[in-house]
Amino acid sequence: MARMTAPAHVRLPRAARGILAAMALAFIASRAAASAGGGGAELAGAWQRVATLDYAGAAESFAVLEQAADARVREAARYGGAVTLLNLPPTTAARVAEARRRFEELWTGAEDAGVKAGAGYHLARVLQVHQPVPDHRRALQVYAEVEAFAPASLYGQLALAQQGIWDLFSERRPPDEVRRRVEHWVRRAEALRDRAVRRNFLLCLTAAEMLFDAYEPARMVPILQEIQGLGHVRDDMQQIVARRLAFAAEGAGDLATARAAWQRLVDRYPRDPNRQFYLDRLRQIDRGEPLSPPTP
Amino acid sequence: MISERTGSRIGLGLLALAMGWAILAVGRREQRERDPERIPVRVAHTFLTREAREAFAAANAAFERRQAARGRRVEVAMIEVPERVYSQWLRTQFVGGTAPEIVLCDRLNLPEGEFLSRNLVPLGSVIAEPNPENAGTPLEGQRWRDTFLDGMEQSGFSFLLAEHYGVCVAASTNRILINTTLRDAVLASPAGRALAEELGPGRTPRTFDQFLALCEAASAYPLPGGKRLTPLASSREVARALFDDVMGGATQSLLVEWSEMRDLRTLYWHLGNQVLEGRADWSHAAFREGLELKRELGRHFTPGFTQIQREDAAFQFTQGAALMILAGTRDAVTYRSLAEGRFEVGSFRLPQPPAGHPRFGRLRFGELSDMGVNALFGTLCLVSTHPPERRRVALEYLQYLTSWEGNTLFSQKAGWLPVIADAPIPAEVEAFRPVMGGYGRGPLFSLGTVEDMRRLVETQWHVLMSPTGGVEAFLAATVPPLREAVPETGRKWSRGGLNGLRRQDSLLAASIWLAEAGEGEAAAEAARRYEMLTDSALWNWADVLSHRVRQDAALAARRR
Repeated sequence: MARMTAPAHVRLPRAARGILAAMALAFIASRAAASAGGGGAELAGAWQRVATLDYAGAAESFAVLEQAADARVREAARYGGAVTLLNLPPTTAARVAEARRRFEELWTGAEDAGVKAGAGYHLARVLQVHQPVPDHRRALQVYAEVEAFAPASLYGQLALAQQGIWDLFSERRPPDEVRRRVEHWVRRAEALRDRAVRRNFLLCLTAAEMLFDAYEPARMVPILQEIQGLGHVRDDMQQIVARRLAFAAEGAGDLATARAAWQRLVDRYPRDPNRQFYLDRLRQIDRGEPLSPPTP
Repeated sequence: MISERTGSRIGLGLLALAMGWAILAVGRREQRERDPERIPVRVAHTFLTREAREAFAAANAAFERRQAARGRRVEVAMIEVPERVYSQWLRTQFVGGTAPEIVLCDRLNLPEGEFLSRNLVPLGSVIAEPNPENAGTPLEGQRWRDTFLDGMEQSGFSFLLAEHYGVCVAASTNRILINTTLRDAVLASPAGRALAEELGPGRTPRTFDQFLALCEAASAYPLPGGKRLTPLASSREVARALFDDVMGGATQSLLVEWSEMRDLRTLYWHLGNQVLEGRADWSHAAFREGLELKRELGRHFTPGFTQIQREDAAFQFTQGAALMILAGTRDAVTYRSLAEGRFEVGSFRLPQPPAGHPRFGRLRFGELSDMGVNALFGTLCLVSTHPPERRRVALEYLQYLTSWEGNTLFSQKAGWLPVIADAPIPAEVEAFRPVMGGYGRGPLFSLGTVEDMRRLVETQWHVLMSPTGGVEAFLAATVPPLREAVPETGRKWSRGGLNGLRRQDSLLAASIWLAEAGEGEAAAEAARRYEMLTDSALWNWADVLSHRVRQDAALAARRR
């Protein structure tokens, strides 16, 4: 998975990093063992079918693998089958309920750490977004347990992010309270070592302030700078981050940072529809003119 | 006179000849298909015009020559299918396992995306590498995706699957086509003489006011039989495109003022919440200016344009009953060929009022960019069910067709805009050259492109255009139903978002498994997909949640 590139201000102590790295290695090793212990290629083939939305084919493959001699393969196939059930057409409440039952069973009893964490995370997802009547309270409890069980795994990190998202976006709160909670989750986010989870969670934190009237540009600048450093895969996301950073830096009076962000947009995206806007901004900053239109 | 017997003999002889030729042709085809050296590349598409056929033929011949120089005997064949039956045809080919190597899929984001994903080759990794067919050209060494006009940010991309599945072969912009024979007559008429002097020898309106003056002069120009010339041939579709352009220009300032995420985007579900919270409103001066502009333009449309079909508007223009029409690059080729021998056709970009224009430019940044609108078409995709060697050659075909050389050749022959940035543009579509600089488009009066909201606006166009109506009457007629429709539009968006998230959960699980347990390229590919999915999954959920919370709170406050 993606290499972690944590900036200096979120760097953990050496011992903690060592423990996390060891846990991550153990997690990946357990997954590799499940894959290599016979049936690995078949499991990969079944997952490949999920990846191409061939849920019927995947369900069939996982069902066959559930009869394998190797207990690890059987367990992994049971997990894959449950994931497949979530989107096997036609998606019905009964199928979602069956998937939930399997995830519950694997979350409490799976031998493989990777399967256990995945099942826990997806159990929470079922409770929160798949079943007809969501059970957010239980979902949050399971997310917390998954995070505690496998903090270094991708599912552990995703579970942490999901708790933060619910805390910030599920209720409208006074701006000061929003800021306080964002600060809390910025600290909690120090545990996020996966680049993709980290940058997206941080992006959600900045959005919470903007959507709930708690926007303070000076607080946003370092977070957006870090997100930019972590680099999105999608170009459109990179552009969005650069624009938000430029405006936040303008709002904070940090025109050097704003200039760098506008310049980045000009240099990297010559066919961006807002190109002239960026050029205007650069000209105004360079000449010391008032910014027009004013910074939002 | 030929006797009956001789006639029969000739008839039988001809029949035998025809049978013999047919058997020979089938035999040759069979032999060719069994030839192990031959590599077929079949391309299924819906472009049935003469120009498109010639363009494909020229590009195919050049590609075959290139392949021959590499020691491969490649034969490219076109399978032309009418657009009306194309989806069904494609589905049948996939089910029957007889799909050709390359298929056109311009609608990657529809529900059948699931169906396509099982049959198409993901292109995410290969477009991130340079296109080898660009070796020795100005594009050498650039990532394949970066050589496209839109950087492939939208084109060929399936948002559901977070993956690229196709490459576009052409681009399109909208321009005004003008019957220059009629134009000269209008400018020579008493109503047009002053304008003719102002326009000078080019005779093309360069400003919005000149454009309106030309429309006025055309309105006053009598046609034989006492009929009046229509300045702009219009249908509902043409009007929508023109009105979107003028409104998008008038509301540019809202890209800053109403972008609550401070990123120069105004998302319709966010705008809906802002409306419900009382932070945004349709009475904003930018919307009023846009509406004034629509009213001004609409006066010159074909009367009753809301009831007119696109083909009828085209007929009005090609019959010389209208001076101008708005057309995309593809339609322009057709209209020109229909007008051939009867009148000359010119083209220009609709001049918009400049920033600072006293009536229509107070909140405008400046000229509109042509980028950022879905302007690319002809999405060709590789079918995954063929042997690797065939797939490789088919990929090379796509790379050639979208290379500097291949796309230049193709667009010159088709009379379309090249999809490759900086490739030479055919002279006849020079006016369609996309404007790369400029500013983005602001929000539409319908807040976005949701059909339900658009319909509410469009059913009241007559109020805006009527001599007894106008902007105030239009606002009075549209704002209450729009405001009422906002919550349901928001709920629909939210339901769609939640469905997307549900689908992404399985994809995320698959990419995590494959990235962690897989090996080599497959694992790297899965890791890339994991990042793509995570780039949107967390924020999408946060967006759905916050949208509901804000909408519910705003509606509760309104009830109080």
